[in-house]
Amino acid sequence: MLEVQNLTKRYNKTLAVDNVSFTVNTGRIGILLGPNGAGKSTVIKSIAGLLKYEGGVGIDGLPARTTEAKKIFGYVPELPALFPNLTVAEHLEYIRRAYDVSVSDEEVEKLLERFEMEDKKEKLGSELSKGMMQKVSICCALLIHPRVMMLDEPMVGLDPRAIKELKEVILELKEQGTTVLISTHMLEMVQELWDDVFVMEKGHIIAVYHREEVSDQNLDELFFAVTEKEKGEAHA
Amino acid sequence: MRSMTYLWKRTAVNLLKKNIKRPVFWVYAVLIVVYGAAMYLTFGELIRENHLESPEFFAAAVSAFLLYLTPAGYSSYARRKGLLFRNCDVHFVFPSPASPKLCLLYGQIKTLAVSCLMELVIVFVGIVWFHIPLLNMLLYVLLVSVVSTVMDSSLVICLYGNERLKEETLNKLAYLLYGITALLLLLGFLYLRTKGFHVATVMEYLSSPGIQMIPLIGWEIAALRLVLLGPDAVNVAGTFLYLLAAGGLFLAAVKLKCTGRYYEDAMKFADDYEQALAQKKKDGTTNFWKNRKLRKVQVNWKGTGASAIFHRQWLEYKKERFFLFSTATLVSVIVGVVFIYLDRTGQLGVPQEFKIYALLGLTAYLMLIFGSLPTKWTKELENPYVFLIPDRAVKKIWYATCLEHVKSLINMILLVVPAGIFMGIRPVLLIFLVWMGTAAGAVRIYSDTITRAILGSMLGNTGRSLLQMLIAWTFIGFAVPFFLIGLFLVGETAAFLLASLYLTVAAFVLMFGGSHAFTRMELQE
Repeated sequence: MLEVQNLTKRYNKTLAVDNVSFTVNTGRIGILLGPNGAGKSTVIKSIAGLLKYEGGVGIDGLPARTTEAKKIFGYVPELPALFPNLTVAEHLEYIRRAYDVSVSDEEVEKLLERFEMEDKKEKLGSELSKGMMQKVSICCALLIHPRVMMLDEPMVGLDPRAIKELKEVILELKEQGTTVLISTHMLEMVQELWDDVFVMEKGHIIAVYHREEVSDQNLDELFFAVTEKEKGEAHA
Repeated sequence: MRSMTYLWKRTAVNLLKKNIKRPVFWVYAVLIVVYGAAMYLTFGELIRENHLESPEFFAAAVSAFLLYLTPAGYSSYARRKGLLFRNCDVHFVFPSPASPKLCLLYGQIKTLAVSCLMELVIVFVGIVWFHIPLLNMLLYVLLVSVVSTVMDSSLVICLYGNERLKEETLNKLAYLLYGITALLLLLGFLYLRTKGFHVATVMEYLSSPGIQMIPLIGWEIAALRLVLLGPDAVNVAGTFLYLLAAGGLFLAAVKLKCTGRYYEDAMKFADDYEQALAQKKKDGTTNFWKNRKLRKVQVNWKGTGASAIFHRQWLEYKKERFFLFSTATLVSVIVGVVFIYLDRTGQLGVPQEFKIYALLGLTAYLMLIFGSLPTKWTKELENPYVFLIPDRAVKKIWYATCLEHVKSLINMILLVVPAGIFMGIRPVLLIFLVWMGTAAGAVRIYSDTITRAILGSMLGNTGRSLLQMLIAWTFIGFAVPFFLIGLFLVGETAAFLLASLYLTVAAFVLMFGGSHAFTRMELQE
């Protein structure tokens, strides 16, 4: 379970996120939607513990900044930044050691094969394209068997095959009871994935949808219904 | 810690493996060895000649380093700078279950290789030049590698990772440390002024009990003096306080609550650092001053095709705080004023008929200094839209560099005209000198374009700069025969006119040749 309680973030005098609260329950896929500048990345970076913020973040009931919480938390940032002088295999080995996870070499091989990276094992981080870096970043996050997984614009830069694979992986994680939060504005990419949607605008959550409540309604319609309404109210 | 050690080790090994395959690595290695040998011979001789080969002088030199560089280091920790975190650390290290304190130590370890190398040099120099016994030098190594490292690491945690003190308080502390350094410099200067500017006075100042009793830094100096020179009352007391402080700070670092609130500042630093690295890779410069304030301006958009480049640059310059003026402008003004002063006070010592040549030499010298600095126009080649503008390449290069010529002209006028008038040089010669300087500036700019068109990034920044300088100075050098022909056949005015005309033609030739760089972006990649 991922809980965000009264999260507020200021950059000097600018209020980027104002008292945001939401919960993604265990085994569900939450989607954080919003236009550019809505505050999604700030929320994501705060959950990942990279920003100073007011409020609380809980990972499976543990405060997010604790070591125990970090051990079960996988994070795929929007822009992957690999160690330039570490090979792909060494990135995975580092993760294995940092998170103290017992993953067999076969499992590592399988993971790399899923994302067509098996022949790139000995490539250095600085030698990879952006899409390949994103794949390594995803593999690293998956390697720790996270209980809570957070992905920031994960499809950007990926080829169609990798996007398909990632979607399958996310659904598998859900089946295994992992909580997933995805931040994106590529609505069509998460259409078949979502369980809960949190629509953000100007630092606030302006709508929350649960799939059970809106049946098969299109994500596009839901998103534009609420954002256009907000825009109309603002103009009025 | 296991994972970070792995990270550090693998990075070092891979970096070494990667570099030893590059011929440039070996070129640099040879250069460093040659440079080191030259320094060893030169400085060794200098030290012997000046009778400085005593352990006391060595202790004073190391003390000076500690006294004036350490506060800056502590200050950078307090401002959450000084540790080289990169975006990959933000991605993989900060969100990992590693303790935030360990992440700080990992950041600090990154600078360990350079520190170790420096200490090795110090030890070598201490033994060879200053005849310090091996045992004392070993004690020094022990002091630096154990106590100083513990102290430094503890300070990193207590300052960088501090979550108890407010950001404003830490910033004030950082400035206070700078203030202390300035105060120590001032005190040193006053001491020297009173006692006389001699090496002995400097050594006396650096070994004074007052210095050795400055908390932390002074105590470290005391410890250093104890292991290098033997005990006295002051350095024993200072060393005791130093060990006490190191122990205290270590305990404080262990007890301090650190949950990783510094990650945000480290992330900002990493972002700036990556940008600086990318810029350095691109054009060999680094600039951390990225969030500069721009003025709000209104502009009437004019120009179509390639001239739009000029109008966009004009708008950008109007937004700049100092418009078209830069450091080169300031230097031109200052040098011009200094020249006037030297001339008025009779210190210039140049006969009237040769003063114009003194100005000419000065212009060439300043061009040599500022010639390698990249300017706004080079950024044009990084922008794909420039290549897409439906216009001729030669028009694009002209409009992209036009304002650079205006800047050169302004700088030349400020450098040459007031000084020339005060020196009583004929106005027509000054006009030609300004023309020559501006045309030579254009030659320099277009030699850069032609280098980019020919080489792209084949030889890297250094190779490209060297070739650019070679082309520019060859073309500028050919102005000399033209000047001499004019001088001997007609006279001084004709000489300046002929050289100016030649440089203008040369600039246009290079401009046409270099315009090729604006045809395809792949030439820059």
